[in-house]
Amino acid sequence: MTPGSGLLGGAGRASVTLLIFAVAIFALMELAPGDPMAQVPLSVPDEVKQEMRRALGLGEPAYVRFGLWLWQLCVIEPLTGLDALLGTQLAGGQSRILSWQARAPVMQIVASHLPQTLWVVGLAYVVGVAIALPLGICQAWRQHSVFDRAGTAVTMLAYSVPPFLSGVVLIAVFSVWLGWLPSIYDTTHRVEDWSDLWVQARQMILPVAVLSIQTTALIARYTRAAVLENLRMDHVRTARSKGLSEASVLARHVLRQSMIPVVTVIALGLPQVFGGAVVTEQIFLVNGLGHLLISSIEANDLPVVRTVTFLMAVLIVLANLAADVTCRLLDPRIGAHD
Amino acid sequence: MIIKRAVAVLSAVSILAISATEALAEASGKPPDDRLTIVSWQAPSTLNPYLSAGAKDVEAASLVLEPLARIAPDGQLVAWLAEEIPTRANGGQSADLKSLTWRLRDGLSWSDGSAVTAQDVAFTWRYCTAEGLGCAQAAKFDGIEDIETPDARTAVIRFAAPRPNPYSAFVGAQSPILQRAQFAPCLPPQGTDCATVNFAPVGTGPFMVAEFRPNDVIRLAANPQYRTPAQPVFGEVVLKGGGDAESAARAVFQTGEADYATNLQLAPDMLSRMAGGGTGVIETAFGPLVEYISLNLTDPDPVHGPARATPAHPHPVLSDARVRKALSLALDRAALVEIGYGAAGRVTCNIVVAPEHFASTANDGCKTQDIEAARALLAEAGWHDSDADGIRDKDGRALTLSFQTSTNRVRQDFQAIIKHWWAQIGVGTELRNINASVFFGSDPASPDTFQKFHADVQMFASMFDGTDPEAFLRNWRCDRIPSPENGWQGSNIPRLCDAGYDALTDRLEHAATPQERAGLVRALNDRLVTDHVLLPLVARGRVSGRAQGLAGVEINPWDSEFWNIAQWHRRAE
Amino acid sequence: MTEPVKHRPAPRLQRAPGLLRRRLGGHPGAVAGGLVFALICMAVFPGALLWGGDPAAVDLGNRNAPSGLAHPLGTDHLGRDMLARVLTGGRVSIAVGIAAMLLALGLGTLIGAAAGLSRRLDGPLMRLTDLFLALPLLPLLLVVMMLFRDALAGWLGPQGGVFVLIVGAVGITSWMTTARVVRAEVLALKERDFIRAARAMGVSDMGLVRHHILPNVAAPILVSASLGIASAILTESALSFLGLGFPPDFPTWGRLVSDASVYLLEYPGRVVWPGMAISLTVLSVTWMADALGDALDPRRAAPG
Repeated sequence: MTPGSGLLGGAGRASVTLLIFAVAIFALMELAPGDPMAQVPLSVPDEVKQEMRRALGLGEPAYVRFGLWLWQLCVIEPLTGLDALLGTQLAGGQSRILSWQARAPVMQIVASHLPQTLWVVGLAYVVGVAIALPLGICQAWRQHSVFDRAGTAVTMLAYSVPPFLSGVVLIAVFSVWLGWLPSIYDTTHRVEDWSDLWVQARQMILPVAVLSIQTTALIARYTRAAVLENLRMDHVRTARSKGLSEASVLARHVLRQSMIPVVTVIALGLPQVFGGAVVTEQIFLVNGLGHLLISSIEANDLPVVRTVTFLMAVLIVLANLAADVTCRLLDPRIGAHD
Repeated sequence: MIIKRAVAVLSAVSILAISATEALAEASGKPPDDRLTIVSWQAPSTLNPYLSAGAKDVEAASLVLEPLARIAPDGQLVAWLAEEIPTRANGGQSADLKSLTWRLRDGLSWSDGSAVTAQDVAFTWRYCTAEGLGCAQAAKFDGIEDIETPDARTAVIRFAAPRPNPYSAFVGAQSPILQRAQFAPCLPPQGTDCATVNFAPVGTGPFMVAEFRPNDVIRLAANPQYRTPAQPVFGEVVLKGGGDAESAARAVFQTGEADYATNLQLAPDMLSRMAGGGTGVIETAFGPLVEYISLNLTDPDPVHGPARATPAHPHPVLSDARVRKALSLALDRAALVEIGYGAAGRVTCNIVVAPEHFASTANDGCKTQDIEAARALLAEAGWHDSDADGIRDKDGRALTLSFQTSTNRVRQDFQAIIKHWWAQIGVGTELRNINASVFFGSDPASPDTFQKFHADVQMFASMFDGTDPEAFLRNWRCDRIPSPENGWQGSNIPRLCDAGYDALTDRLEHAATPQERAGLVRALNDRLVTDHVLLPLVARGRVSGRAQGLAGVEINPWDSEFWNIAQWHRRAE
Repeated sequence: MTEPVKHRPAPRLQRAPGLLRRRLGGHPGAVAGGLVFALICMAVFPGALLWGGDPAAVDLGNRNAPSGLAHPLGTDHLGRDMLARVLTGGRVSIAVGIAAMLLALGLGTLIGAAAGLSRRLDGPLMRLTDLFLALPLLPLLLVVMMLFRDALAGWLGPQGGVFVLIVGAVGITSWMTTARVVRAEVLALKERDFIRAARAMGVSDMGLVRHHILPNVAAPILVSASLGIASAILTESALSFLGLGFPPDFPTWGRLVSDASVYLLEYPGRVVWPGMAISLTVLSVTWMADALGDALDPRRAAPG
């Protein structure tokens, strides 16, 4: 099988998968009870609401709307993206996927919510992973020590405290009582010099702290379990008996194998950055993609929900593929003999 | 060893961080005095009130777009872009009540410098009534045949039928004037991608849009073309959305990060505690919003199949007026207000609670709870607890009611309390709460919409636009009953059919004098309430918070809260 | 022809009776975790009955009362006894937490193991996992509620129906992490020498899974178990918060925490008591899971 045909086959399989995803997402949102007019005040008469529904395109049958959405998603949006990059006119002004609440292109709204999502939620994820890995490894290394037991208690306690509690407590201490840090995230703040960067950092500290608590707990637990599993392997004992120091035993023999489940969990959590941190985004008014998704679900703004969910599905598939590739790199035996 | 070192490093770093933060907390500047920061926790998604009727969008748009007339906090009309309010007395309204002449002020200009003309007024009507636009405010333009523009400053509205109360179009924040030059390309069918226009409309208001991020934040700058010199006082407004009522209240009352926060639906003791801190002040205003219970006069039993909750099957229990009255007598409305709303609510026994001349005084007896009388009424109606399980029964049917409402902390508390009171008079209650996006929607597949009323008791809130409740009272006519034939569309939720009531609404349609209208409105209200089909509970007010130093705020329950934002200023400390 | 060698179970999991029990019994984590968990269960099941307070009894004359004899944990903003609410709430929370966690674990292990072992099933199953990860929770649950609520209420009565619905809803939305992790472990294990040796000996696939693979993937499964209980209890509270769970006057720990979160700074006890109950349950399950992990792996040094 030539690399070319392998790639083509892979692309074909991926397209089929994505098509099935699109159908499933569309079908789910169609089945789910809800009405974009539910948030319209009751003082608006029913006939007006019917007209509004018709203007949004809800008069068409489901398969027509699905086809239109798919066409817009796969053809018009990428063309519009190319137009923006290269200054061409490929999309020809055809109508893009429009949000029902804002009557504006969904991609434009997503793009405006992206920066704060990456700054806050993305950074929190990185911080969480950066703390969790050494924490879990040290816990496993010093199993049954005070550090291990305390670490377990602290991480599980932290995990069972929901973000709306930890967020409120942190705000009460640092914003209200001490007045050191702001409680509202300013999304229009532009970083142009060092003092701007400092302001940006200050407004990020609390939401990043709240978010990374959950991530840290999750990844630390999996890391600890995985490292424990591998610390007592025979080949590790052999290495120790050969006279290698604990540190190099850890680094050379244990870590590679332990990272397999850990990488899997990290990859699983990554796409959640783009849709998962709803409560924290709400408490700090970060207004990222998680908040956009949940408020669109509440308002039954189906184009936004469908499109963002589809994008998340694509991200999840990519993240998991990346995890699989990394696992194979870590342990070349995986998948070698099938 | 490593652990010890790590702990040492960590403590050093944290000490450094803390001291640095402290030092810079003083150094970092507060927001400039010239900027007004508003937190509106329901973030606006568009600035075109014709595309979205949601209060969050209408209020945000009112900073930029203005109507011909506004409604002042006392309920009186105030000429805004118009020179004066046209009435019969000054000849603005014709003798046959079929035309209304508005005259624009002299020298009005849009924020881009061009002149405001009557053509813009006529265009706004054409825009909202355009086929295929789905204008959310179309009801405001009902019955308008044409708008003539005899000259650049005069617009004559011609109605198809005589209209004693013609002040619906172009009055209030819901129907402002749009600039024809900007919005003309947005008329359907070609105007689908008008996002730039909807996000930055050109208006006559005190502010213009500098940056709009939907569902996030709006930055506005003062309008240099604003008609009153030295206004607006603030040079910049930032309207931040997102979060919830608690974070909004915190920003004004505790951290001082915002100057004004709207729609503070909080637990009353939490709100009063926050306001007690001294950094902020609560502003309340009472308009027509009323929270009430609706009793189903039809039987929602699933055994009736598709005819459930239709007038074909009257309710076996609630059709009896004595049972309904007993349910109302068991309620202690003052306790409900105290627990749920505090200063943001008032006990009411009317469905039409405001303006004052429309509020009836005939029903105030409902304000006192009378458990004994309720028990007596139920016994009189034949309901006795024959099996001593605490719930009355009659002819083998237990007096249990299903009570549903939308998911909302205060409503769930009310449900728990009302269940407790009804248990005291021997009525059993099953509680359900339904997600608001399902409850208030009209998804034909969902059995949980409020219009389908597949339960015995429902609770929610209603209000009307403007100061005249005629359209509101028409909601309970016989021809407004939701049924499977009309797709469950209809506003007569309790399925009341009273010929006398319908006759009165017809008379109201033609009543010309204010006294006659007031009398009819009160009569209609009394009919609804004495029948105990609707049990009014709380007149809910608007609650907002403002910083101590913010002056000029006059909270308005009839129009936008920002109706006089041009005059807001910071009081010198 | 010689008979095929009779398959003997690998020495990983000793069949010697009582070894597991002995290893667990000496483990302080197991003892502590087991004791705390037993205490909690006793408090919420028979304890609630003994205390006798009605969790739904509204008493408007006695709102926001501090702790006293009649109400050891005070009353809430409607005058309901906090102790009764915490104890009764525990029943549902623990039952939902454990049931949903077991469901999610079972589903996840099944799918993960199947995906890891069979190359044909790997692709479709992993894409199914990705799909479930991507689908938004609220509409998915609304659809499930809409489709199954009445049917289940018909079979099991309204309370039972909602319980099964919630357990199912939480279960089908939390199996994905376990599936991915188990699959990764299985893929790694498949290539280990002892597995290949067992295969060469002629061990059936089922036998392979039962005796060789499952005990070795126990570690991440046990981690998922402890994390799963915490997230199941909290997800149930999110469901009730959205109106999809138990009726509003039905206390559960998660609901108590989210209802009281507005009063965090004035009446912290209302948040702290149910919150601590959740945390203690989670911790005790974590200790027991860790102890089980240590016991199952004879090479992990039991604490001296």
